Amino acid sequence: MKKRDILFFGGCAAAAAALLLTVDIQTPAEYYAAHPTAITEDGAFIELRVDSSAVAEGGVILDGRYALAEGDSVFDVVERVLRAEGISLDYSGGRNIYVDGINGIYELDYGAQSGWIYKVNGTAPDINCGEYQPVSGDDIEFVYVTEYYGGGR
Amino acid sequence: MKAFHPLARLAVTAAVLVILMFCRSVTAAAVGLVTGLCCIGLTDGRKSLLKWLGASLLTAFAMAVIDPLVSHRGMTVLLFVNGRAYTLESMLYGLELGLSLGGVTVWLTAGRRLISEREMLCMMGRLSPKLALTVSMTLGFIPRLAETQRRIRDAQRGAGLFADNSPTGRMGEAMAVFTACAARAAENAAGAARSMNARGFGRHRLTYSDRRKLRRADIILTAAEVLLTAASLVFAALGGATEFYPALKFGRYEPALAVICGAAGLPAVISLAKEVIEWKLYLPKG
Repeated sequence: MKKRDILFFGGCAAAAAALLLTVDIQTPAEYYAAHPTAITEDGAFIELRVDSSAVAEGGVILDGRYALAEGDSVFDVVERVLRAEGISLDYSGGRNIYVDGINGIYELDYGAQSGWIYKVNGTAPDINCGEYQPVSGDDIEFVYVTEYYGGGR
Repeated sequence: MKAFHPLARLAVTAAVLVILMFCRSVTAAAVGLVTGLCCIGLTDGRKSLLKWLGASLLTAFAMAVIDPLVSHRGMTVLLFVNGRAYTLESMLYGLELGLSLGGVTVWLTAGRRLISEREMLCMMGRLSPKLALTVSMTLGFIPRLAETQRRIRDAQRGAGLFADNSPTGRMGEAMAVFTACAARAAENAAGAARSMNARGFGRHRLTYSDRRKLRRADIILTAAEVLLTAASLVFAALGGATEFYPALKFGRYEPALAVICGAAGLPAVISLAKEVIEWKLYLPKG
């Protein structure tokens, strides 16, 4: 093997090793141990309520107080809690998240304006839930509405 | 399959391609891939079949592994990678995409064995010469490029260049061959354009001659393929497609889609198998 081949393979191995070092792989048990959803005595928290009582098959899906980690967006904390509670969440997008369905209740299931909106402390923020960073004590509510314009807001 | 009119052969290929591309069904994708591989095996032999099988499975595997890294949807969390969920449903979605991609690639290759470029030009040229030329050039581009690359590589090796068989040596050879190949493709394109211009392409009315006539069997096969395509799209729209999110759910018409996909590709498989058997039987024994 020539010197340039050794350099080539060494470079490839170093790049692969650097990539692997930046990847943090955890099992669900390890992840939830490191990112608990249950609040601690002096830890930050949010009040989360997921409500689909506006529609026939709905009701309050989730209502409780959950831990808020540093740097969490509204979506981060909601996704973590719903996954931990075994409630389905369907969404699209990367940083700009659009929530399509929660617990099998989807947008447009109950009319052209039906879908999920979120509120923080009773008002719907103007920024995406993937970007909104709540503070400890905030009331976060995901509500299924059948009329977005007027009634739901 | 050569016994059928090119239009019927095109209908078979197009039907399977449409089903694979537009009906997101995991079983139909698997069936489409299998029928395509059968066609390749019957036309190109066992070695080619194994090559395509390996490439398709590798594609499906790679898509199944990569998709959960970019899509975090799904209920069943297998792992968390950098804090993002790596889900089973996303893996299965990637697998379906990989199978569809493999199936489409295999059927495009099988299509080239079923319909020659000349037949395609003859058939579509009547409707639109420009469209026929575009389709012919698109379908023939990769095989022609691969052939040109092989010839340039052989010529360069024959001239004593790139004797170094090490990995970096092979990379250097590949880059040199690709550069020569790209230059040759550009020269050919300019030559073809000049030639077409000289022959008055697109300026005069054209005349056509086709000794093949559509027989009853061709019409029946074409109509059947069109019906199968339409049925598959209707079934997919009515809930035949596989639902991956939030949890895997097979569609109501999933078995029907798989059967339709198999039925669309089966005439090609049967016809090719018949040709292979006939050729074997006609070989002189000695």
